[in-house]
Amino acid sequence: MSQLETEKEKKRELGTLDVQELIYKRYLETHKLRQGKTFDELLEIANDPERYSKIRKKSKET
Amino acid sequence: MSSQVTVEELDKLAFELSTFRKKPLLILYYHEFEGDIRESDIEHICEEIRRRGYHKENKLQKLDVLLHTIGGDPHTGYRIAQLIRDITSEVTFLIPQYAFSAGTLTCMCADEIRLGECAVLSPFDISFGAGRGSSEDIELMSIDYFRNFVTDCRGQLERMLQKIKSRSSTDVDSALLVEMTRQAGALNIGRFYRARTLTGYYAEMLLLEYMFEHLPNKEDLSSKIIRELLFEYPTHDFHMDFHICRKLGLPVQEMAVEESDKAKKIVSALRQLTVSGIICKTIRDTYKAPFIRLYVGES
Repeated sequence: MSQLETEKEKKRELGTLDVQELIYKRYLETHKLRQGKTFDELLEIANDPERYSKIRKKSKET
Repeated sequence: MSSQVTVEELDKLAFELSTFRKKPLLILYYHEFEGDIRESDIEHICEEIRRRGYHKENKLQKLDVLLHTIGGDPHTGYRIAQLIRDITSEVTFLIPQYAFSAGTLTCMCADEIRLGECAVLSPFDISFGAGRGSSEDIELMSIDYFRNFVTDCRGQLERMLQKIKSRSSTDVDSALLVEMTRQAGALNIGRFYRARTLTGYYAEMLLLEYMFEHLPNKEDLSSKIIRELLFEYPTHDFHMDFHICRKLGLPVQEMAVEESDKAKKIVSALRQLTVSGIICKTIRDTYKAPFIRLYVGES
């Protein structure tokens, strides 16, 4: 069995608490990466026309 | 059940239900008002399913999804539904207590919805405001009802003016609508209507593709259900029990007492484990991670 398959097998057998801990850690990571903002808030920021025009202006200057 | 529930007891209860139903069981538990459906859930649900070795090229034949939620983001509700249908040919939703709003939307991909004793679904109209459950929340339905109120006001005044043979007219409707727009905000109202159209679109996709896939009258039935869920129920938190869901045309069944008790025991265990801080830990102030777990044929 390859290392990848062994790892997969190990992961498959994780207990309920281990899985929840894993999920919780991933949630915290996502939360940190997104600086506490929701996905909708990030979308709004990313697609804000004012922000976009500032970026365009900056890139034209450089 | 003792006050000190353990995760092992929870596993036992989940396997008992899974054995009783003869199907794998996916539990999606969101803790009361501290756990709402959010975009990041998709990745974790997907990961849990993949971890157990299932994906769209290795589907489960049948799956039960035990769902407990107050709702949340409708985009995510829709995507969770599609994710579930990607990994199973047949799905039954088990609702021990409630699956509100976006949770109800997710249920629209089911072949069957089984409601526990006194369990409810809700309309998936859009609620918007400072915070979930806050008194400042505004519902699109409130705007609809306010509009009806405005029409009634104008009608009554016009009738009264006719009765007294007055030549004056009334502009009470525009005054009231201006006031409503001032209070709710014109852009907010626009956003509401856009979001409702979107929720209707998602629901239609799920109803046509899955729930009523094989019915000859699926278009009519879907339109009727969406219209009622989006426009005709009195409030966003209207409780749709078995009888209302059946009247609406949804494929619902009431769980037998034994099944309902087993499902409710799981929710009770999840709740206790969350309160004890063992599962669904806090991510920030009033936001807890959901409990996501796929139980497949072992104990």
